[in-house]
Amino acid sequence: MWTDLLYAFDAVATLPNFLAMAAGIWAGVIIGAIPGMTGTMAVTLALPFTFYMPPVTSILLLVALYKGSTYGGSISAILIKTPGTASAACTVLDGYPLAQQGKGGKALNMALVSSCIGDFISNISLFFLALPLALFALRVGPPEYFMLMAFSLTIVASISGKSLLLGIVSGCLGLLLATVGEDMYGSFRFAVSEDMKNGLGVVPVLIGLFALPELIRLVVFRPEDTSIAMKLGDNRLTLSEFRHSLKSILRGSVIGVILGAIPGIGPSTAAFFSYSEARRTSKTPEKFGEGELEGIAAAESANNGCCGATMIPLLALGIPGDVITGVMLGAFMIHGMTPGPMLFQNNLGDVYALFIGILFSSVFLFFAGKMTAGAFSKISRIPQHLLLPCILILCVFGIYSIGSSSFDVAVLLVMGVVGFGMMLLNIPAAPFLIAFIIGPMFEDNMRRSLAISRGDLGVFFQSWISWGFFLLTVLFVALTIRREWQKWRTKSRTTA
Amino acid sequence: MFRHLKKAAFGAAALLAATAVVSGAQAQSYPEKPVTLIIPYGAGGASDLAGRALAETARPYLGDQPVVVVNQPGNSGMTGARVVSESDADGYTLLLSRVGMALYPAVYADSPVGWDAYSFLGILEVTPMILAVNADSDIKSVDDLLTKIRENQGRMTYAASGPTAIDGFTVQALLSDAGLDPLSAATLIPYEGGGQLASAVLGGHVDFLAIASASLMPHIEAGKMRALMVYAPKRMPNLPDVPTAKELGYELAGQVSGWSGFYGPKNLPADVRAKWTEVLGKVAVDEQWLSLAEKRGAVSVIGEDEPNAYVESQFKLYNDMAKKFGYIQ
Amino acid sequence: MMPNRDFITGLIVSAFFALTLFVLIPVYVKVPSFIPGFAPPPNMWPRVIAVTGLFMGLVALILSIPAMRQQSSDHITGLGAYLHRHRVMIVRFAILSVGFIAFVYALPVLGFLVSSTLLLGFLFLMTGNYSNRVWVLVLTALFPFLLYTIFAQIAHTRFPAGKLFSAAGLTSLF
Repeated sequence: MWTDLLYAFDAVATLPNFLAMAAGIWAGVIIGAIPGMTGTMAVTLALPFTFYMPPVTSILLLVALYKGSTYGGSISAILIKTPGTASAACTVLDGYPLAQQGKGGKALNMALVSSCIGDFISNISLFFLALPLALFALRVGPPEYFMLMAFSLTIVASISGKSLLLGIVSGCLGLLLATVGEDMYGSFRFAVSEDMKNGLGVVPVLIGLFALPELIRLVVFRPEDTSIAMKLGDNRLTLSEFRHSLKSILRGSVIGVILGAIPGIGPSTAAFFSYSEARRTSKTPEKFGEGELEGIAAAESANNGCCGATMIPLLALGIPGDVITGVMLGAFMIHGMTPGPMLFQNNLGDVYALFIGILFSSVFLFFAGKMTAGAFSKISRIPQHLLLPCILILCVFGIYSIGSSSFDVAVLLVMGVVGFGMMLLNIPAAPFLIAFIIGPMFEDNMRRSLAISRGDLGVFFQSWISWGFFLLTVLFVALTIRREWQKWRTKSRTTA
Repeated sequence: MFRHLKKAAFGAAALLAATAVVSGAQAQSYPEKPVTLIIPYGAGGASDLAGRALAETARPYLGDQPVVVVNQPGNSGMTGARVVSESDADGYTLLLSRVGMALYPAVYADSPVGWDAYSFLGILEVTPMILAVNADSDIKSVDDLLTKIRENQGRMTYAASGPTAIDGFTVQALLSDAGLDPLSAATLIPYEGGGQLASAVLGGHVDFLAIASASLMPHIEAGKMRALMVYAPKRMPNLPDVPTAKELGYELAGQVSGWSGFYGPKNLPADVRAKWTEVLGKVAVDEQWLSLAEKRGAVSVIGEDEPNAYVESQFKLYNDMAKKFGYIQ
Repeated sequence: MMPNRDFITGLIVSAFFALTLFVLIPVYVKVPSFIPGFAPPPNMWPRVIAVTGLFMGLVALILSIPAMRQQSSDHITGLGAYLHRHRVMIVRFAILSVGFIAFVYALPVLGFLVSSTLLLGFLFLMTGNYSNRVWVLVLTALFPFLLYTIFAQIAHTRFPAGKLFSAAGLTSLF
């Protein structure tokens, strides 16, 4: 093993490899930071170039793009309330309030540090835990998946803000809109027009819901201070702030690694999951959503913690968990390597070289992120009445280019109006989004489980994984009901 | 940018001119700008790799004009297909088609695009599908599987993208050939994408499946899955011991397999068709194309079938099956 | 009795989910015959959501009533007066919505570049702040053009050129 490792180290430490990683990460950060341009797009665009590269270099380039874009999304999420990628949606919740308070630089630094730590932990687990985690992931069948998603849906309670009731309403709206389009059996729901058969895209819905209401509010209410840009004051992340969030960062990384290893869950769910956990264990949960650094730390460590871990089912089993690892699978096959157990037998040298290269990527991420975030943070100085219209145009171009579909642009604008309406009615947007992302996984796995068991509900209680998540869900719901009950009682006492 | 638009303008002007001055000189001039190849499925899948391989291989034969690959997934591939069938027939927007472009209109009467709403430029490759079970299972052959299906009366489960998707038809065709009810003899569990389908069998959540070989070969080679039967005209070189459906005497299943085609919008100009016939002829014997096809587990069949007749026969095949299985009356 | 915000929220939410449950789901969610009886049909999950949403909306409606009773003693404004007071904002919102709709319909006719340039100019006008006029003009003219170039060249996006221009052969004007 050690000779293999040394040999692999020798093989990976070449100038082209380092150049590919540095370029990939940097490009990824920039692409991720541009609203509407996603990591998937970056990886797809780079795929043809990898035809001509050595296998290890080409995979390293794709991994670098993936990691860079996952971090990059947080930059625009914090500065302009527009998550560049879906995985950064959770970062908006605390990032944008911090930017409004003039602490944008501090938030960016926290996002970068927690991303890098999450990324590094993820890489280490890819190195040492690939096989056990992959075997665990395989045991997660439809019933276990369903229970996990049921637990994730309870996150709605943590991100509802002031009113749980309206949070649930928002969640229901998200669940409902997620059912538009083709269902798992290929029949259509709410497909009023031909375009709606494809369903509503995550990115247009997400950006429409978060970013557009700000613009509409500016136009409709015309607040006094639009020409004043955001203050840029407090930029440094202090050691005590870091120490305060360290527990959330570590927990977020572990959540990211475990959820990332299960094919199909993805970084946005992991980020919300980790955020909810951080809020639940925090001594000051009421500060979450108003600009709490720990919230950013939890979300960003989890979404980058996913990056390395999504490689686990790909490399160890040959199963791509999402679109990006699907593209990577293609890149492997172009070079005549088939990911899976055979890869470790036939191409062990390449696998080690890949692992070592990926370990270095955390370091590259730190420097590329630092420089790019520094440059982008100047955006905060642009007055709102100039910035917000330009952001909309940018989103329109980005979203059109993802699917070459005018329908997506229409969805973006309609969701903006819906988001504005929700803002007026005090309905929080975050539960909508998490429900929109989790809803399809929840429904599909429920229907899958019941199809396998031919309608027998016992299928949901057949393994310790299901039981574990079931008990957690019940506990969480019970705690939430108790909290709401107490709140209601104190309220009715003071008014009576 | 200016160059790009100028070229576009020039192209438009040239097209106008072409209506007056009949080709001749134009035969050499197509293509004058990059050609867009639309892939109606997501990046990284079998169709995407096939499209990108074609784009890379064809470039030198097109006077070094690049073929730009654009993924336009959605609605089982019909979104991308619709974009191409409705675009200008100037030869600059082409489609990498799959079996789905014939299957979908065969099953859905309200399909947004008919099976013949294109100009057929060629059939590129055949991609085998494999019937497989988990290696731990006691099923060793197709007969074992069918016996077990009969014994369990519908409780056996198989993974597929959907009942009317090609990987659902593989199993239903087999069931129908064996004299069983294709819809209820075994239960279909829908999953999305090759990775999820494969992991459903690997994790033991469903009993069997019959999907594209590219998604299954790694697991078969690693000894985690057992191949029972191949849906292809002939045996696969890397699975010499696994029989084809035709050899086993299954009539419908013997005709099912995956393929990629190359389409354009209807009424393509003659010079464009001629150019692509010439280019595809060169691609067919190109080392790079053949080696990339082999790595994907596909067999290049450029020039072997007359595309019109082939696509029509495929449409009829699935149309008949859909009627037989009860999807349409 | 002046309806407060919670009441309106509850009303809109209940109405929306009731519409979904009783009209949209029966009309737009088909249940194909080939799905086996024991597997949940496609309309089961939307129904569960709509019932939950309807219930939550009604609860919000009921909970808002005590607060409204209290308020109604000091406010005697009706809904009409309320709307009248905010008419400028409502008009602005309506204009903006019309602008968005016009943009979507203009895309295939005017093309992506022209439509987005017009949209940007329209938005700058609508913000009502004209303190950086030079910047506004420069951005309107150049920003969409810049994005168009970047996306068309790097991401190979196929933007609609616009029927109006391609029909008149005016593409060469750019």
